Amino acid sequence: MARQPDGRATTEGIMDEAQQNRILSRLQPDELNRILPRMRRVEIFLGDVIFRDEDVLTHVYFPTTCVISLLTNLADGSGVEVGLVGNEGFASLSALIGAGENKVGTIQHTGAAVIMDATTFRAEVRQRGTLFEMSMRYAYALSSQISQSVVCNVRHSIEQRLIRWLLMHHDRVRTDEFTLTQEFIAAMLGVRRAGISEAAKNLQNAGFIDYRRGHILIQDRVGLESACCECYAAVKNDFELIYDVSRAAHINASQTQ
Amino acid sequence: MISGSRTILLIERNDETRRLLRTDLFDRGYSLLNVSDFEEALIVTGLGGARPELIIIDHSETAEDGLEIGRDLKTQAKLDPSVKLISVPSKFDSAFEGTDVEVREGEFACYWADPYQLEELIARLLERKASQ
Repeated sequence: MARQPDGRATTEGIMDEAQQNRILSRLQPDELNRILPRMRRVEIFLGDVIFRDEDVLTHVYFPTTCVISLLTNLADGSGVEVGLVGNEGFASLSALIGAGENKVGTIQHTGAAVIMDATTFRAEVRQRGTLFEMSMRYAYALSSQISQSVVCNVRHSIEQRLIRWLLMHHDRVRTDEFTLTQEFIAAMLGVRRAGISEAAKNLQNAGFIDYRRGHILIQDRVGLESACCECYAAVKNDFELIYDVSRAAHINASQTQ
Repeated sequence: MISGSRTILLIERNDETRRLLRTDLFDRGYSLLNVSDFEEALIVTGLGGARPELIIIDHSETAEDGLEIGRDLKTQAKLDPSVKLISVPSKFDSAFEGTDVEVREGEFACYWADPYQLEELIARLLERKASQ
């Protein structure tokens, strides 16, 4: 079922595009030059499924403006989102080892990604340079995101979960206005549409968002953050700490002294 | 795989139908975007930038009503003219049951007998396109 991206893949301006991904932007010029010929920019669209469970990935996606949802599907076809990947990461970790996928990757927000074939990706990771370092860091950061979501989904209200999800999504789309059908959010959060509808209404009454069918406008980001449970900030802080190479280097240096 | 599976936009109010269709179509390698009505379909394809290859309008009053919705959506959302339409009317003469009719090029009426009929039509349309 592979689909060629209708000629939208391009190598033009790939260097500038790569700078918009927080992992690729860390690569040294010689590292980037080595893999540049193997990278392309693609546009991917809301609802597209880029990989399914059991697929062995042929390409790795580094989002620049698109957002990817990682879902775990049950046998009845229903899926629950377990992770969100924006320009801070890549999809998917399975490409590190060439194993079959255990999640479904679907496009949550239309936009661009830089892709590279999985063989090049693994070869570059084996160089033990920046891509290796950042991939390890990202793997840890994503596991932190997933484990915090588990806690949040078990312990916090639908409204708090919705706020966390909106903030995480808002960080990645980087626009105040985006598309979200209620059915989509309900599937993402694993709850009924009626519950989401009520929670969204409360957030709208508080003036945090404007919600119309399929359409969200973030009106008061600070208000949303103040009403959110601790889970959003915990994951965000984790990401910043994990991505702070200088801090980790400092710790390494002090340990070896 | 570079850019995922072919996306189908389903305009349909009945959650149960969607769930069954979604599971079966996902297993066949398609992805489904579900919306409740024209307004939501316009947001998903406009602001959302979704680019379906096929639009299914389920539970339309008549086959022509459904196709009209699909045509309006294609025009307003500036979708590719090659996007196929399937209208599944809720009421029709029992003589038509279980048949599909290509009303105009790329526009179909599916006189629903069971989900397999629709799946078979979808497979035929998208596989025909893929082989072109």
